[in-house]
Amino acid sequence: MPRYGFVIDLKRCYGCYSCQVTCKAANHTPKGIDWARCVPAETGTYPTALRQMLPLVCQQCREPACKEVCPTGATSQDENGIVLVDKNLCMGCKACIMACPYGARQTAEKWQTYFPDADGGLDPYEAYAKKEWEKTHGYGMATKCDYCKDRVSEGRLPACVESCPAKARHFGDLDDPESEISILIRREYGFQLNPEFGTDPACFYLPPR
Amino acid sequence: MLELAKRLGVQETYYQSINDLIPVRYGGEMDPEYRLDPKGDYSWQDMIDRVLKDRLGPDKGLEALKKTGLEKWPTRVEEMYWRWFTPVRVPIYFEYFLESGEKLEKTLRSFGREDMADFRFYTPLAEWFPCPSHEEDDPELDLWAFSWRPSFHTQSSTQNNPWLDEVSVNDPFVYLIQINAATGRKKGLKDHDVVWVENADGQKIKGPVKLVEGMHPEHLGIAGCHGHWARGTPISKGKGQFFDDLINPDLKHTDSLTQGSDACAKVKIYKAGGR
Repeated sequence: MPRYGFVIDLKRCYGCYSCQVTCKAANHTPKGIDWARCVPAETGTYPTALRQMLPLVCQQCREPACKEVCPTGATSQDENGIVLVDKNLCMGCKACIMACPYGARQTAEKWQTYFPDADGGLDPYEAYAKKEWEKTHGYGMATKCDYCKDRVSEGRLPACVESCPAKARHFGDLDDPESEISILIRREYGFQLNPEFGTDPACFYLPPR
Repeated sequence: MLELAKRLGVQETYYQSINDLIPVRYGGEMDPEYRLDPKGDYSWQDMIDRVLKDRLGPDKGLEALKKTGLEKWPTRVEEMYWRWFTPVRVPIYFEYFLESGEKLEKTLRSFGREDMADFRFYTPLAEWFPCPSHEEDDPELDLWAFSWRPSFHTQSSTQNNPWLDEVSVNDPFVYLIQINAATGRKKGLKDHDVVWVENADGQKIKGPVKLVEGMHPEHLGIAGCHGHWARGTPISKGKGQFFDDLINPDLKHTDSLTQGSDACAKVKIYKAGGR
């Protein structure tokens, strides 16, 4: 079975946040929950300063710290290395949220509308999104990116990869040395974030300029 | 537009221009059945219906679209990159500007309103002219304020999108006034200090400041098209700053060729109190 992984090219990302917003649309995440986050920062000083984005997703670690601390067995890994949360087993202790060194897990305590002052309750989209969210995740439980596993099982790309206008995101099989992501990692010096954590992430980054 | 064309007696030309435009913009000739008859009399709905049927098929006119609300079709290369397929020459020299300027000057003089345009701008070659901020010599106005565009916003139409607003709130630059870090420190500023930004005419805008390295020491960066105030904009209201408040909407600050406003203003900043 393939071990799914990501390659994010920091040279190409220019901070449009398409990944973050597309993820919201694809996964119906409520306000404040972003599984594909972008963290902007500046490096250097004037006149040689650079603005750099750091796009973050669940790193789908081979040795996930979140799984290790889960007291109920709600966190598991599938045959493709994707770390999953079973909402029926999760008791909402949030130990995994604290354990994840990449801040990839979030929890929604309730549905927060984007339009709190609107008359007549939720608009049709928010009503639909709320229903979908409650069906798949609910409140108080840990939630996270699963590399859009439902889309991938249909032969599609994760939503954030598909929408990236800069083609900064790549998805594929880390175990196949000839896959696009394996070649990119070899050829362009791909690296993992904080390998010293010892979790062996499946998300690799290509260096910025 | 249709009413105006009719009253001006240019309806025939207008219809013809639509017939000419559709193949250029979307590629491929129009079906003669759906071309507008220059002698005809169409409503806007009629015209949309014809274009939809021509592009999407006879069963996909305006009535069908009203029922479904959405129509998808595979975009063709000619449709996406239509400019490439348009056989035109792109002018390098704008020699006709000379003539346009002379005509305009003659017309405005006949009304005694030659003050309404700056005829120096009508040059056949691209040329740089200083805007008023470059001629401002008040030493107190020590910064040039510019607006910039976050790549995820489009003009002034997306600020009320809640997802993009959420992104903007979490981005450390979008809703803040950016100033070079060393310049800011010299002025005794820290991140999130609330400042007034004031132009030569005393017009000012207020907002929290962000000290950044990626900014020229004499510049001030403000994300454009924010600072909405209308009641009907519940998401964007009161967020960011409205840069154009620093640009006077008068002839002095308007390019008479393009009608574009100045892009920068000479300003001073000072603490407004609060963080």
